[in-house]
Amino acid sequence: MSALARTRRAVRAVALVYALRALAAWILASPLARALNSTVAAQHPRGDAILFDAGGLELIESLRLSLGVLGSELKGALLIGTVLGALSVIPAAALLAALVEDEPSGPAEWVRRAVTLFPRFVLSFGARLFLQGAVLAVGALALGRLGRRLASSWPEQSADLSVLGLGLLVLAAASALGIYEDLFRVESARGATLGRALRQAGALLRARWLALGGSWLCLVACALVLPLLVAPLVGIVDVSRPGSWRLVVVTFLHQGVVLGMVAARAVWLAIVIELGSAPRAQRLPIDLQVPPSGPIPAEVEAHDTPPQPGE
Amino acid sequence: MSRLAEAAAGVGLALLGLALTVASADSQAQPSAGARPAAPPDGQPVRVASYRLEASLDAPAHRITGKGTLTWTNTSSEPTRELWFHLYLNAFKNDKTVFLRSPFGAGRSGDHGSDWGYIDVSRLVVRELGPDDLWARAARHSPGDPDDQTDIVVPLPAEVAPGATLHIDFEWQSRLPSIVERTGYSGSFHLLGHWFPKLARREPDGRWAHFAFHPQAEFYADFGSYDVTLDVPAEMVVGATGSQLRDERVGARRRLEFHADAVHDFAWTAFPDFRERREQIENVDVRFLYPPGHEANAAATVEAVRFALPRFSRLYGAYPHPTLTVVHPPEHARNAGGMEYPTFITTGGPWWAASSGLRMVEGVTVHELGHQWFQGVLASNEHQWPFLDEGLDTFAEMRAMSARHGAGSMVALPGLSVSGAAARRALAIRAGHDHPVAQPAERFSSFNSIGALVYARTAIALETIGNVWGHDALERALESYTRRERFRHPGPKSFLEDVRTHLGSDAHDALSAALFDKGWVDYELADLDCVQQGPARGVFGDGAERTTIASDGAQQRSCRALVRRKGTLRFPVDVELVFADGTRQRRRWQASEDWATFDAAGPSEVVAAVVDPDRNVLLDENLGNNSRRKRGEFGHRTLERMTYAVQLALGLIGP
Repeated sequence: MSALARTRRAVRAVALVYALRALAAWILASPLARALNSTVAAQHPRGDAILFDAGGLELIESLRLSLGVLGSELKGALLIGTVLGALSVIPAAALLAALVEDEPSGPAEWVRRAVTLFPRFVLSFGARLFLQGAVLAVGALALGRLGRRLASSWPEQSADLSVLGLGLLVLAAASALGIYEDLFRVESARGATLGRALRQAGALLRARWLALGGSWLCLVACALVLPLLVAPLVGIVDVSRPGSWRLVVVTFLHQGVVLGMVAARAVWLAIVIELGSAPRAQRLPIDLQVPPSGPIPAEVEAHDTPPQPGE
Repeated sequence: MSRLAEAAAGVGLALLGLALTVASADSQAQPSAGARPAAPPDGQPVRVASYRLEASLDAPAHRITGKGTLTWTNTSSEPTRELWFHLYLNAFKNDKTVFLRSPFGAGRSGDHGSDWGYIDVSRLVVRELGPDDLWARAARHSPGDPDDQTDIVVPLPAEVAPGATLHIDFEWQSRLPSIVERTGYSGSFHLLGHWFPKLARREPDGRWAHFAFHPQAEFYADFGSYDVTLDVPAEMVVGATGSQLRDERVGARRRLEFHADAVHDFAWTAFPDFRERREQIENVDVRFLYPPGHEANAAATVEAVRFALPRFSRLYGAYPHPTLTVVHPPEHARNAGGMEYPTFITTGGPWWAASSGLRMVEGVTVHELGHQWFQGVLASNEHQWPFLDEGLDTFAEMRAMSARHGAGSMVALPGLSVSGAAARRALAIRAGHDHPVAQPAERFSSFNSIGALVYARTAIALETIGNVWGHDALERALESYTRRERFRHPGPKSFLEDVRTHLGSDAHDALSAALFDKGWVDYELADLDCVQQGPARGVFGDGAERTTIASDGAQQRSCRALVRRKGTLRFPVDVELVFADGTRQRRRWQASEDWATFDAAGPSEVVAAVVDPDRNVLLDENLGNNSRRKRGEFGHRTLERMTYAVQLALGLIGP
């Protein structure tokens, strides 16, 4: 496949993931928005523009009045969100299939492969979320205690920054689980068996932790910076003022952010694929210029050999 | 006022003090035969209870050993055979005290202390009544409460006549608790409030205003002068009420002397790690003490005082002292933050607070500074009428923060601003039916209840009064009250009369009902309906005379909006009618009756109506029923924002 064809395919895959994620978000957000809107804004001559007025009087009143309804809608949203979260594995797997596949293929083929991978991916997604939650909970508990201890003996800034630094390490540990899951899924998308995918993902993480970690940080930075960059612009456009064009502009800005984040994730997955394919990097069209940080273990070298009996 | 003028004023105050001392010396010989005290001249403090204290701080043990002389004049109209002392530190002596026992448990901070505190008086002699140690006769506990020792009566061997002055020598030792709130230690940080035996105030009618230290209540005392000598470890940086007269190093110790006049309390802090900044603001020497790393907070604090001190002086009468000390406690002593003493306030917030977009440091600073007027200069009975201090001060803070920061006076983040009025209204409405606002502090069911009613609801009631009857008039009422009642311990009636004078009886009645009678109001746009009007249409007549009159397209629309007012409060409001052609029409409703209809006829239909469109009545219990439109709106903006938020969340945790 040519580089252009690969890029086109990646763009189509990104668009598919973005569209499905937007649909999922809309399904989840609609009842919440309806509940919030129903109390003050729905009957007001200015509609829900008042919820965005400076000072937050109407917004706080809407939250106050709709707290009960919002609570029950939130419970429903969590239930639907769990189902959608599990289903969102499919577009994510489709994206991966599109990126991994060497031969020309279309959305139908990606989705077919994604459905095949669904049981394994949904399992890894659940396991990753559970482990990340456990790491973050234990980390938060330990850091809370440490923070209280340091606060009484260390200068405040030093204590807070130390806790923050350790907190970043906890986040790095949680992120490593996410990186590991992505490596595992790439190997799975390439056809490795469950055991082999687990082993190869671990080996690759150990061998290329610096490159993977650096790339992951870029992805995280992108996810943080994009919304922060856009927020002041949204404030300037100010949807509380008359003019439906304001809402259009804000929608474009926000969806630009989301699209950028999905694209950044696709680039990250391409990097993972690239790093996992280092011995044959010359055959890959995407030159990401990420040098391997150490010798490739034999088990990684052999990652695309056919599975052995008993694996 | 220039430095020279300030010095001249200082000399004047000293001469006045001397005159009072001479006058009191005359009455020493005959404590039971003094003359009736003269009424205080307007705006001038009367020195009723003046303290000369010497105290030494044992920092590692968090102990103070002190002795002092209290010069007290019976300014009431009745003789007395007793003295009432507040030993506030005993509130932290054990978990059975009024302050610490269930259901209160902890103070407003919600945190329990980890170390006990107490105060022991070892000697008390009234010079005019003989050499006997009267403390031996003192009650062992607060009246009717054997577990509490914060409110102690000392019987006197002879009657003290109105106008007589006593010189009371006493010695004591205090042990500071770990900080729960307002006072105590945390590491090497010490905040010393209520650290000496404090005489209760005797009201003009002869009643002693004494009370056990309740976690929800604050304080009440007479004005006087304070001359305090402190002996502390040499490495301590000390800030205190009043002006520092001397700072002398003696070996490993330091001796500092402070003088404060026309104050009713003395507090101080000692901490070796304080950084210091000084500013001259409106001829007041303002000293900022803050821990290392809080430079940004200190800068925000300076700016807040630079804005608020001149504003409050202009609105509520000139700040009467030459000094002000603003203390930012270290974060491990955060419960010492947000407290006011005369010429000495504590602010608070973590080191990153000033850069966070939450105006925590500025808000707390402006609030505590406002207390210099409502608690410091007016000195109302905070135990009896907490709203006169905390409520009026919260309103003053809210207005000041709004004048400085506009709609983002509490939170200013990209795309989100929250005003102090909006946040406080939510609290005030939630608790509106729980208790009256105007009642003693200990009658509230919790500190949250005090927070919602005394602080927030008073401020929101005043904001409503200002919005409806004019903020200029309300400012004049407050100005009149605060200037006339300087140093006079006013009660609620005085303030309400100023409201009547400057804003009228309706405003007075509304405020009075809101404060004393759990007054409430809910405006509702109950119905909006339109019918077509014009030449009759249809089939008319019979037989040959039958005619059909069709619509000529020039039908008039006759619309009616039904507005209701529920509750006990009445505020005049606007009712706005919005027509299909985009025009708007406003009508005034005095709201003296429970409901009213507003009719409009014309070619354009009324498509929406709203009562109180400017949201003047912040006491309105439900803003959700204030409007009605013919066709509801879907809420695209809300949906867009929520969808975006969910998309971000999915991106964060999704596969």
